[in-house]
Amino acid sequence: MKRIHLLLPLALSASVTTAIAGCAAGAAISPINEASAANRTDDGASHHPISVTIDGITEPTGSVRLALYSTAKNFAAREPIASIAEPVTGTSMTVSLGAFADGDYAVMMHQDLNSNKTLDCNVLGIPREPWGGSLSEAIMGAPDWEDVQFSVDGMGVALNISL
Amino acid sequence: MSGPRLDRRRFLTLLAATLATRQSSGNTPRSPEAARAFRSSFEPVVESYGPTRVRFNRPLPKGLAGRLYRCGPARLQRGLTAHKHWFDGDGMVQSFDLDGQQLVLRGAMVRTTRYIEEEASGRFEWPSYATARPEARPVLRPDDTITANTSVLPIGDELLALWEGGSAWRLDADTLQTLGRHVLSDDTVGLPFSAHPRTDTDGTVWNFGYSAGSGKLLIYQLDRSGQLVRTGVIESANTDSVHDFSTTEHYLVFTLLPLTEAGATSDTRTSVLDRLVWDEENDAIVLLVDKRSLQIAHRFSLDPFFAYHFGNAWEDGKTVRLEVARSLDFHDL
Repeated sequence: MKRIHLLLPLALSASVTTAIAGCAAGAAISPINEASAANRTDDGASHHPISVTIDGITEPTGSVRLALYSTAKNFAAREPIASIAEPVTGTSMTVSLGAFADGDYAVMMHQDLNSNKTLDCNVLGIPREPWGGSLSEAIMGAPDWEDVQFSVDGMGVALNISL
Repeated sequence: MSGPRLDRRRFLTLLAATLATRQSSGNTPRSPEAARAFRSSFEPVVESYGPTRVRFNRPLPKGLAGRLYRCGPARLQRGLTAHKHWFDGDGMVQSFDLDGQQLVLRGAMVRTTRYIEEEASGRFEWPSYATARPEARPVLRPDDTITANTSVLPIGDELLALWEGGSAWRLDADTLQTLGRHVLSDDTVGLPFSAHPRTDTDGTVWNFGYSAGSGKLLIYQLDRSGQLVRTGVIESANTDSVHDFSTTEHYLVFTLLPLTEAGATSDTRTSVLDRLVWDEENDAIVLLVDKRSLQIAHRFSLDPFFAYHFGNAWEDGKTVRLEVARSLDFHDL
């Protein structure tokens, strides 16, 4: 059959833009059991574990790379106070970042599919590898410190990040 | 504003039907009938329908045969939650087949990744272009908010449902069954592929993609079978909201409007549409992109105006003429 290509512009066509500019890195925060989590260091300060459960891994390959920040400044400079890389073992995995004193923190992570230790971006600056962070709201771009910040306050924190 | 302010009349003439009258504000129907009709547009729709045959009681004109595709937002509500704007609805593609005797109708929702997830959960999982949804999931990739609701492109043996914030979505051209995300190449997977491509005289398909804040336009050249021939990247101001373009024999004509996404994209109380700001102090920029090099050959500045869609463009000697119906600023849609 001969087709008539009448591709008339839709009067209400959507003009849609999603800014994920800047290769940067979502998560509900729930406290984990205080008694089993807290430990005590030599200086007497109480430290509490931060762990991250990552799910929604669609391509179980490469590694997950996580970074922990403690201030807006070191977050902006992407100078983490702790970082860790773990081989991807399945569609879901839990990574422990260590134990930390009470305070404000933020986690950013990505799945390093090709093991080049970098979050790869496409020509428009949009990450081309799965990424996430300690986000609790529906941001549509690279997060600021306020978007990813969470508190450790007397007990450990278990983050959940869906890719 | 960068770029020389050249003799715009010599190089580019706007044949503009100026639509300067203010329209009534977007989604506010005036009459009770209009209000009812508007509300009905948010009612649930079927996932698919057809083939439905319509017979006529008299012969159709000879030659009136073929297929018309249309695409538009159809699913605007989940549970008790509705989108604020038609722009946000999940797309449905419909086909109208005429064979001289009868009309055959088909329609099907485009089953994007977003649609499938939200069908399963029964709620909107992500924010939308015109609807802020702070409690929703963060947008980690452009296709998270895909609706595939804007237009269609029949190419090769398939049909693409198009949007502009993310990937095109492949459909069976006959059954309208969804086939999945359209991947042109490893380098362009998941990148925006806009909803108003232009088909050239030799069947070449030109298109572009943009991402607010990037300062770049990605240009696609496809052959008539739909294979990616090459891409190019150009840099310019005013690339936060680019809906359409035109082509001439030698050029792609991009008119970049002073419409910028201001405010933090991390402000979850505002939608993308809320954040778009009309900067009347800025100029409209017209770029002539050389089809051979995919680089900017000429750049012009015009007094600011707004248009979603652009008409025909052609080369008249050393003048490029462009047809556009414009308004003087960006109204509240």
